[in-house]
Amino acid sequence: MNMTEGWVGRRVKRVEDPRILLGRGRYADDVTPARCLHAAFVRSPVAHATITSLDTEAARRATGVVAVFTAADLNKICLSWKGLLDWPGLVSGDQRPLATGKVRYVGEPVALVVAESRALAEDALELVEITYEELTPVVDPIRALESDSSVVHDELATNLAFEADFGSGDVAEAFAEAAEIVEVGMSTARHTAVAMEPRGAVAEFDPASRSLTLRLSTQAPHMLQSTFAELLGLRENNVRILTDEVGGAFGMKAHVYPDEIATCCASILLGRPVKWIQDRIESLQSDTQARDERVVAALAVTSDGKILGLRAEIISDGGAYSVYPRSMVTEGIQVATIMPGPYRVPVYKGHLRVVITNKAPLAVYRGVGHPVAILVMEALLDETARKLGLDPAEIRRRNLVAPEELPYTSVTGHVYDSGSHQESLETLLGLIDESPALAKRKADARARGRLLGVGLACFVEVTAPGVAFYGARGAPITAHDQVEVRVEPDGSVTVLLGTPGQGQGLHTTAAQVVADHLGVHFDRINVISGDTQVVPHGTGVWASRSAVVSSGAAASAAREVKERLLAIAGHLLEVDPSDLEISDGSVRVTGAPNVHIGVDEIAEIGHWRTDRLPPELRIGLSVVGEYSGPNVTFNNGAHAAVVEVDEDTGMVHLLDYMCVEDCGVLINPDIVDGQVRGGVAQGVGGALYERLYYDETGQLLTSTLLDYLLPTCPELPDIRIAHIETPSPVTMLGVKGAGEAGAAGAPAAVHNAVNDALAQLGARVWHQPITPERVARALDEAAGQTWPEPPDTPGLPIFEEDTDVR
Amino acid sequence: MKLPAFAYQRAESLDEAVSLLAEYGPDARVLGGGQSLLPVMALRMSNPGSLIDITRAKDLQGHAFRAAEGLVVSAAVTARRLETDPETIRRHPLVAACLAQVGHVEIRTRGTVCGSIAHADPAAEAPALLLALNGSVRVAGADRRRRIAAKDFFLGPYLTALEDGEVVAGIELPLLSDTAGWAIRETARRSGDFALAGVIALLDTDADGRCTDARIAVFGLAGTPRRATAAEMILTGQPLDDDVLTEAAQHAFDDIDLIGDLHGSVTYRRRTGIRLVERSLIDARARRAQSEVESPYA
Amino acid sequence: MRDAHEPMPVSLNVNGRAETAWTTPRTTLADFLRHELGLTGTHLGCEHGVCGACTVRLDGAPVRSCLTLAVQAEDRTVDTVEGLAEKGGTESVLHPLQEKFWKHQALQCGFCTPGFLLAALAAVEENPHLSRDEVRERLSGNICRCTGYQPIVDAVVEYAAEARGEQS
Repeated sequence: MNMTEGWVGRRVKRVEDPRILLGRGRYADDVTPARCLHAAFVRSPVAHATITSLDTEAARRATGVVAVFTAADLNKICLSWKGLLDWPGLVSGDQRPLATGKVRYVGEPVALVVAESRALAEDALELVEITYEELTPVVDPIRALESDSSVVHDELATNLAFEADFGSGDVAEAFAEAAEIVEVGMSTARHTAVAMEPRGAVAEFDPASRSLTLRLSTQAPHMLQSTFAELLGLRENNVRILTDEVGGAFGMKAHVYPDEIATCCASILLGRPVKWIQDRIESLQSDTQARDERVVAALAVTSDGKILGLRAEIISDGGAYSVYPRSMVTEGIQVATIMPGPYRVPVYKGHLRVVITNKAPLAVYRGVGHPVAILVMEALLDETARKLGLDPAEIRRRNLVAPEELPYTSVTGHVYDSGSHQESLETLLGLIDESPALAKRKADARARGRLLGVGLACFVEVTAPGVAFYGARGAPITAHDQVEVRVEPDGSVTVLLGTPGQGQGLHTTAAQVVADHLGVHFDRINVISGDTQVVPHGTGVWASRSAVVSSGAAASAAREVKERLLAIAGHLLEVDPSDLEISDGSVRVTGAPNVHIGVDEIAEIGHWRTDRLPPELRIGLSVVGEYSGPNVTFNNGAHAAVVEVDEDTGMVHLLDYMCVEDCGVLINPDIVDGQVRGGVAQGVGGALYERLYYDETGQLLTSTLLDYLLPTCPELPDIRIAHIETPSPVTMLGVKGAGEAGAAGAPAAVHNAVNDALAQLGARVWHQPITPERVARALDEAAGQTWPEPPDTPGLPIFEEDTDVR
Repeated sequence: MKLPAFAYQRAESLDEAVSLLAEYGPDARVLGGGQSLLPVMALRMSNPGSLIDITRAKDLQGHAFRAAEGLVVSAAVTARRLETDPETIRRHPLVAACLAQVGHVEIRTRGTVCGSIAHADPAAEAPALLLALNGSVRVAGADRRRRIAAKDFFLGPYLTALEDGEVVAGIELPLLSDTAGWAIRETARRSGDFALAGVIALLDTDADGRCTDARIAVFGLAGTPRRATAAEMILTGQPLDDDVLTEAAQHAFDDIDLIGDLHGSVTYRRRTGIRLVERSLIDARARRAQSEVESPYA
Repeated sequence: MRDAHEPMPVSLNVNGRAETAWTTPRTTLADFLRHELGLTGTHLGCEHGVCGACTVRLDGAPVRSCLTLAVQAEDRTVDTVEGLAEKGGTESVLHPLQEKFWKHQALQCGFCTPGFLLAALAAVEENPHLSRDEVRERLSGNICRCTGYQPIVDAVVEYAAEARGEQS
């Protein structure tokens, strides 16, 4: 097949869009079964306390209230859980649908009110009388490791959930030989995904068949089918998870959540449908959080800027529970293992500690560790370049993996199967506006009281992980998703994806791939996903996997169906099937274009006139295909940001943004561009705005969107994107994932741009988000003016065995 | 996040609003545009037993330019209506410019100017505008109508001189002289956010270029909008050269207790406030100079 | 005196159709549209007036339907996303702005999209001469978490140009 004339690679308009545009999308709250009840949760107002009394009587008597449940009710029908992947030494406390005995973070569900309407349920919340005996909150993850710290889970007798070293080689020797050693200490703030559609669950339990139908806003229906069946003691084929449209997920909707399973419990106990739709306060308090990382890192280089070694000390603030089933360690591990990035780093040691604290659980959010790892590495390179008097592009050029080194195995064991690490940087430099030259633009800005800066960031991103990531570590998360391709009797094609979409356009890309691999027109294809009772198995959307995995499985199914079509056609046309080809819904004999038969005709015969076919022919025009691929495939690319800092206000204005992305074969460039832009927007959010602010008592001060700041339209410039297509030699279609690359690189590019600007006055910032407060203070302190307030900066770890290295 | 239950009454007139307030008692609240009240209720931080909706009161719909009081704005007038009103843009451009800074269009479309005054958010524009213009608030209660000067109206964060049973019926926004220069500047984390620091500045001079009127209202910096009186005193009677403006800005917060929060500390707010005052004074001076050439009434 | 839980009738015009339903005073226009009238295209993303997902037009002007009581919409005209497209035969024909959103891929998850459509339509009707930067500023009251806004701006700018009678 000639791919250049196919559907793959085209900027096809998305098949998902018309019904959403018409207001006919079906999100979790858009469906209300008959006799549905509505749930609301009493959530903990304190970070750490013993529940000494719990009285639900008054709430039970309130208008419209049908039931009030506490842990005592739900623990009878639901097991506890904890996310313990097979990482040596990982520990966690048990989690349950409702807090049992103790509360461990602000927003943890404690009681569940079920009423005739959500408003009535909310009215009754304040009537649930709970007494808390407050315990010392564990808020600072470094303090949490001290021996006299209060402990979040008494039975663990420690707040250290996990500790490990990553990397290889003799770091001490490399640092001893270095001409220069550069060290930075940085932190990124707690974020959360803020999917525009909050989470939600509509549970319908049928006591007769002991089956649960659960409409959820989720990105992992099959994973939840398995886990909910396990925890609720139901047979897996009696748990049906449904999703249609999902209003964003970003990694946050891939977990077992207490409130969602509690909603199921309520439906089981009441025998009626129960709906719980999360509100935004609940979202900011209880969705999984991310990026709460503190890193001290050092780079050893030669006098001409070649990297000799890297070391990092990482503290990951994991929150109160290790989420099920993915665990709390994935982000920290990726901070540690991704840090060497696209650079030749011969020796490396990353020491990671994941700490349990009285905050909402930390889990995976778009980019998972990459934004932090890349931020630290890129900041180190910029500081090193300053110290050596090198251009920031030049120091990268000297250390980026070269084409002849590929495939390349990183010092942390990651295999980069292919890529364009050097070329991406050069392409990026070509995108940066040099008219007038940057030096002149900086001078012009200075005249206006502004500091202009440019920041670069080169990255690799782990995508489409295989079974080693989770499945082999004991979680019900596969890597081999399935897709069914089915030709209907009229020749139209139905594709059933094991993996659902949350807005990425997976239906469109699957249809493009099937159109090419089956040989039918794109418009003849319907794609279905999100009903575990109907679609084949898949573990959902995560780790930039869907384009690779889902498309791979779709292609494999389509090719098998195509073979069957050709076999039937061969019989009907009395030619060898190997002499046949399909395109645009028509089967033709190679070299004899006038001899042809339509797919519709074949399908009709394959369904209704099998009497015309020999019995040995495999005539079923429906095949489930699966993906098989490598453990991972890495994409790569480079980002550049141009900012102006207002000296008077400390405000950072993002003027220009460029990104070079190489995710292998592009199925739909518009969709990839959308992923890049959206990812960059989230990365800019993290760099400049987003912060879940817990005070010293563990109270969350940012529980509305007036306080948790997301970038809006005027804060973002147009993002200019260039693509390089280096096909992966190891994935089924040469495709690499693309979903997180924008989020992965943007915090580093923006941060480096700000520091490039501030360096003109000898100032730097080291912590994200880069608030006006932090910028103004850095400028004043560089000018010798101290501020009376304690600095708004988290504590940082210190290198263990410090004396070994320096 | 659903609103707590309340009884709802629509007032057809100011008098009816006042009598409904009396009838429903102290836990009744006036509902204007609802853009401040309804979110607070949705968060269950406020739980009024009843809401008296004045948005359709026939005698609270208008605004008018009066010789004595200036621009008089009745309680149901939305920010958007005033901001886009050609006469307001022409005759009282500072009002239009300030209101255009309030939140987002969708908020201004429902939100009333008087509602913002009554809500008294220390970071909001309208209260500072009223203060800068030496305006006043027309208040109606069961027994009396009264007028409260802006300087006496704002008592603290979300706290005003309104008494139980009283309604803000309107505000008076005195006009500026033909020659006055003005400016509004604010620093906010994002477009449309409440100000981390905000300044409204007014400058007028005599024929010799000496300052005859200097007014600086700051918002987002203290518990209420405040006038930077120390800076105003430095400017008054002086020629408006750069040194004077800078010195005035440096002293702008001498007698103001600044308040910090998680978006900005006291030191940040003072530093930024001083620089915003200086920039605003420069802007106002420039507009003052411009007004010599093109009077809006020309 | 009225009781807080007592339902009241609300009559209004939604997408060109007269509607009447009973609702309690505390019901927001958003919940009324979604749950009383079944018009679930209007979405709730924050319920405190920040995200803009619930934006509808009230007598033509863009408002937050989460910060408007249903009873306050009595006798008013409300336009929601469901009313934008024309019914042509058995197929719904997208509104020209919806077409631009489709063309520019100005949506991904689509949850914020109805709010953007209504806010942008009001903006362009008020001023079809909005510059690109003005479009950005004007849409600052709507949050999108997926697209980075650029394709939304592209769609609105192109729609405005056509509304002015220019070819794109």
